[in-house]
Amino acid sequence: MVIASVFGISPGSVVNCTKLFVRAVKKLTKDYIVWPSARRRRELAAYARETFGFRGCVGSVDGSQVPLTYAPRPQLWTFWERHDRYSVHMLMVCDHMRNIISVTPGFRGAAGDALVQHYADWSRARASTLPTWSTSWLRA
Amino acid sequence: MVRVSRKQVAIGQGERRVRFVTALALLEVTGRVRLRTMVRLGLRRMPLSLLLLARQRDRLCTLLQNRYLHLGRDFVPKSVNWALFVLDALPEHIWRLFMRMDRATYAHLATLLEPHLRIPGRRTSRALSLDMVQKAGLYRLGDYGGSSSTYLGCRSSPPPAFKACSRFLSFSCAPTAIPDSRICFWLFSLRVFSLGVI
Repeated sequence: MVIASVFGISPGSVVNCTKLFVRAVKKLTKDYIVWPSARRRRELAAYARETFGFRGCVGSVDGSQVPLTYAPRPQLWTFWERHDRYSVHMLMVCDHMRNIISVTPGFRGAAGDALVQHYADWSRARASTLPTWSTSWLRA
Repeated sequence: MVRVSRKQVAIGQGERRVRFVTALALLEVTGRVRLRTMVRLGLRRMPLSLLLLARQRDRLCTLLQNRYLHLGRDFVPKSVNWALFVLDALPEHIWRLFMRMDRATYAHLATLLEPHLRIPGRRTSRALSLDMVQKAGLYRLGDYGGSSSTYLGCRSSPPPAFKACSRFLSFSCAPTAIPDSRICFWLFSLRVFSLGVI
């Protein structure tokens, strides 16, 4: 109701606008969040080697929580995390130019970063997605 | 969000009560209605309705003053169609609070999303503009689900109407001197009565 009065539209229109916006952003995902090709990975690894001294590093990975306003109904204890709130987990990888190259959503707040990383697409297919000397740098 | 709406309801109730007690005081001063006077406090000629009016007015003043105190410093009071007239004129740092990105990023995102936000077959004059769709979506995604909105809902403090009421009663029960607020009230009431007589 607050947003509807602020924007001068009906509450139903606010819901429709949000759905439309989220759908449009999701359509852009496949164009902008792309795992780098083998050639690009070699370039990134060479850059990291020269600049930071890390061998086989194509990016940085970190997990983040998206807090929920209300407690979810099914198995709510799996959404409870260490910041004392209900949330969903999201793991993101970015390259050295701060471009996000991978997002792993869908895990619940109680899941740790290491667990989500274990099930991430780039981690499961490690042989084809990472250089030989690659190491996952997980920032706490 | 919960606390804002509660305060708005309390302000509406306070305004209605002040209007009612003002009318009651007018009737009592003109002699149409006879209520009790404040004999016990030594104020023989002061009608009870004036005391009620002063109490309601004090309570309403406190409510109006403390309306936005629980929100952040950068909070801007919003009115109907706020997004049309105010949002675009806000400075950059406050714009970022609402839209979660700077204006250049917003414009770039708008160009990227434009082909995807258009719904085929819905090009009537009543359809919302793409800018409005994007702003409403960003505002809602930023406002609901964030930890800040959860925090506002969880905070608890005694309602200020009770504080104002108890403060005024503590004033009025000590018949030593007339406080400044009461002098202001007398001036205010004189103006109200003169307007009523005219």
